[in-house]
Amino acid sequence: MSSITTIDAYVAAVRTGLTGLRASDRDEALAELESLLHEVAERAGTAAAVAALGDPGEYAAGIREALGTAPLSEAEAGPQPQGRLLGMPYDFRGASVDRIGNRLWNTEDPRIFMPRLFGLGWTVNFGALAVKLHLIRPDDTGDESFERIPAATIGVLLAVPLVIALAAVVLVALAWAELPAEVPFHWGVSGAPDDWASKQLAFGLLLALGVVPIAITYPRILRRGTPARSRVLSAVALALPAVLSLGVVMMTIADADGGSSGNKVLFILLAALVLPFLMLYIPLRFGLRAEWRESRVYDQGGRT
Amino acid sequence: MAPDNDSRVSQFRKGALELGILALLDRGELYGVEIVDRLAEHSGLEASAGTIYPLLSRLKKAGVVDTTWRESPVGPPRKYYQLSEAGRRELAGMTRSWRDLSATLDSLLAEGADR
Repeated sequence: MSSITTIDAYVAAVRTGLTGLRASDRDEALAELESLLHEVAERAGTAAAVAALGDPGEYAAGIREALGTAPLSEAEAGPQPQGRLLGMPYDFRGASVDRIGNRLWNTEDPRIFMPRLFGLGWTVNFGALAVKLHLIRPDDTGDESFERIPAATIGVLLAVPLVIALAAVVLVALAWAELPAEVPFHWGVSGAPDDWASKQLAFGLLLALGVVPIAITYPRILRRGTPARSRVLSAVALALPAVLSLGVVMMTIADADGGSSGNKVLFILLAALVLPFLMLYIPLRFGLRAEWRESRVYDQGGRT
Repeated sequence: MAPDNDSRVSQFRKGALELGILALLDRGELYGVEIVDRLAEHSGLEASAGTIYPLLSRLKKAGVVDTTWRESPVGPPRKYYQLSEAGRRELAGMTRSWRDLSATLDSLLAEGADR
């Protein structure tokens, strides 16, 4: 954060990001940070020292990761937008999109279900899924494959979450006049609505789920020089809440009259899984093929 | 903070695995599955693909190994791993450290057994 110009302010900001850590760990890490800052400041000046370490929230996250407490941290670290949505903790800070993105495609790790999805409780490692389905080998795709994904493909990928989130906005806008003041807000196991809320609140939250993360993340990843890997993984990470948002918006509109059009939660979850998988697998296939072409090697068909 | 015992053992094993992989690659290039299989032939060095692939990726990032795509007689091309120049130096250094450490421990343990 550019507003921080003194060592004390930086250390204080990192301390906030470390809330909940064991006091002894925290104090040790902060003491180390402080002496590092003073050391750099002596040579390069305070402003340069503070700037060199980057965002204090990310620095704190780094400390947590090093201490092995990262999974607990995301919901409470830092002053950036975060909180609870529909009872689920969310965390759409820029840095976390990258961190979660890395878990979305990690072919080397055989675990398919990784802790935490984009601040929403769980993550699917689509890379492990592709390996398990024998679509690729654990070491086939790397940073090089991401870099060789055609620019046009990345453009399409970046448009996907945006189009989905905007579709939800358009649907709500079209239906708005017809909608009753109170709309379903919660559904029972049977698929019938069992709780209602004002349409402003219900749709406000649902649309925010899709739009807010995009609005926060896109300005950063559209910047020139952003690695292809970050762009692809961010687009995928953002497609997940966008699909959930669109799905629940459709369900809410369909059941607005109080009836039940059947439990669609499974369909929504399925879409939220299949779409990101395709968004990763297809572009990476392109990238992999480009790598092979460059090395003048070809797929001989069949599986090993 | 002292690491707990489990993580100490796993750190130790990771070091041994790394040396094992470098030693295998010193004899010639191998692809991922071959490395997993060859290690499994050596008692004590068996490790799951989930352990070995992240290790290979770390070695590649560190510049210790290089990779080359080669056609496979069946199926898609395979990624082969070779020792880089830095990898050869790393292997020589690690081999020395390992011999020193194991000689020291051997003599220490032998003294214990004599008592």
